Amino acid sequence: MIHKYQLNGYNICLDVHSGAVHVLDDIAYDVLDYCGENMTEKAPEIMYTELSEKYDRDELTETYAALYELYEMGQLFSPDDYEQFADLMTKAPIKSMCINISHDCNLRCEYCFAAKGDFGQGRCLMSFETAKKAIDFIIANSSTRHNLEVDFFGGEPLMNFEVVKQTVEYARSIEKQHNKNFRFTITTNGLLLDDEKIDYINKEMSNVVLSLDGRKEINDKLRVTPNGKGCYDIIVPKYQKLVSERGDKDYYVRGTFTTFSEDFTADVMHMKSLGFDQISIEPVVSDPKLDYSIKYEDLPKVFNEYEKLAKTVIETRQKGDFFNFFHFMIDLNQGPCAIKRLRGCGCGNEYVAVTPQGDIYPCHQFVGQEEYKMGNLNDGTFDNDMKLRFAKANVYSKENCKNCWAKFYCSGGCNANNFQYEGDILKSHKVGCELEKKRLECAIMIKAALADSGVENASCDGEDCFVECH
Amino acid sequence: MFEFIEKIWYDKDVYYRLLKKCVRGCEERVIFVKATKHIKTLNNANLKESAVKGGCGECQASCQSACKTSCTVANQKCEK
Repeated sequence: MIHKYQLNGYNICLDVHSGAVHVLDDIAYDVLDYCGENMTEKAPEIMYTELSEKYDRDELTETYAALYELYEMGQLFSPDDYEQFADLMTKAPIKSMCINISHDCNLRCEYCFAAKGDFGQGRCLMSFETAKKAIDFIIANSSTRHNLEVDFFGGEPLMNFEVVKQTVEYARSIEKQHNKNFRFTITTNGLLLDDEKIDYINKEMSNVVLSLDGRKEINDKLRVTPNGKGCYDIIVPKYQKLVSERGDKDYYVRGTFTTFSEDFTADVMHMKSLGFDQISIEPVVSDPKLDYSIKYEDLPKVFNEYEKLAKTVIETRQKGDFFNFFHFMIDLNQGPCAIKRLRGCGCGNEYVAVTPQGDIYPCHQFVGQEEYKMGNLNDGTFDNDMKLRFAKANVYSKENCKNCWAKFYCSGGCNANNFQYEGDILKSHKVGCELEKKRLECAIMIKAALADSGVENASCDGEDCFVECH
Repeated sequence: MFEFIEKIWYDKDVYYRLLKKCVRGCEERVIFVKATKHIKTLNNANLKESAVKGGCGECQASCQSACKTSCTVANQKCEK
């Protein structure tokens, strides 16, 4: 299977099952239509008939031969050999956990998937006792996995920061004896950040996600305090301090775009102007009935904006400047293995979320969906049948993914979104799929453009180069 | 900051671009981009190889939803 498309003046062909990306001239792009999974050394006569007005016969023959060479090398129309690996992960240990340390929030963002902080379960904070059980649970269920990830999430985790610190301290105190390496991350809205918390986060958290929607008027429209005031002026100086002291550790300033901010390139560039260079702005996922939701009919506008942003990325890099847009990051050479790509996030199988009550869910997005409760830390229950059901959710068990060109990059999408909006974890969330495919097309085109202009080799990770150079 | 030095040479019908890394004094890395007259290939097509050697599971979890910043696996790193 291949995916061919034209974007920003580039003719691009992705060979899905080998991962090869080719940039073609016009004749090769046209000749590609006469190649296929059973192509032969000799070009089909119909190609000459149909393209003879446009191209010279010898040139057509030469171009077809070049494409045939790629086919022979397994870089064009390479066969799909991956289904045999699809069930490899069914007995995977649990290696990642989202600890909802707070089911309370000091913001009331309109689009919050967590029902403005409490996941519809009442406002409460996790006790250290429960958090400790969560750490014990992941250690006990992680088998021989060395690297364990724990994300402090909410609600707003800083509302329960003492328990965050106690939990980190507890995990650190026992990780060596269990031969584990904990990586902590935290996602915050920034309101409660102070110097002490900034120091702590920069020391202990391997990644921090800082929520900000971009321009003040955009951020303050939906990210509001309980009394309806915007939070931009409070949080931005705190984020700037945190990032300026963070060194080379990971962080993202992360926003959500809605139909109110379909010109989100302006928000990305605003974040850059504030001094942030690790930026993510992601589409709101919400009930299509709500006025800010991205609906199917909004897609053309959003696609145009992604293209605009992609061109902005290229221009910025060509000028010798840099920012990283998370959703355009793609490693064409040394990314995750195909096994990882088959299964994606691993929610409910390798990844679970726990609530302040000790309830275990497949992931943070399932919290509050009673039928997806997997167990409880306090009574020691855990539904292994449900774990197996999630383990079997991969790109080959999802009908719409099996033959999709983007399957090794999106890995089947978000099971929670699938359930919430399509009614089944195995049915792809349509709007999400289309957005993902557009982002991938842009990301690959950026690689082509940067390689073409000599700014960056397509096979090297631009971010790594940048970090090494500074 | 990204000042690559480009050398191009031909071998049969294939030309190679040799790109040196940036000039800020970090280690020089040489990478090939293979191209013919009509087609430039951007990467090593190693997905199949990775299926055979992969699956250790040590890599970072990737959240496929929009709410956590990790919507694709394409940006994940291999821990091997």
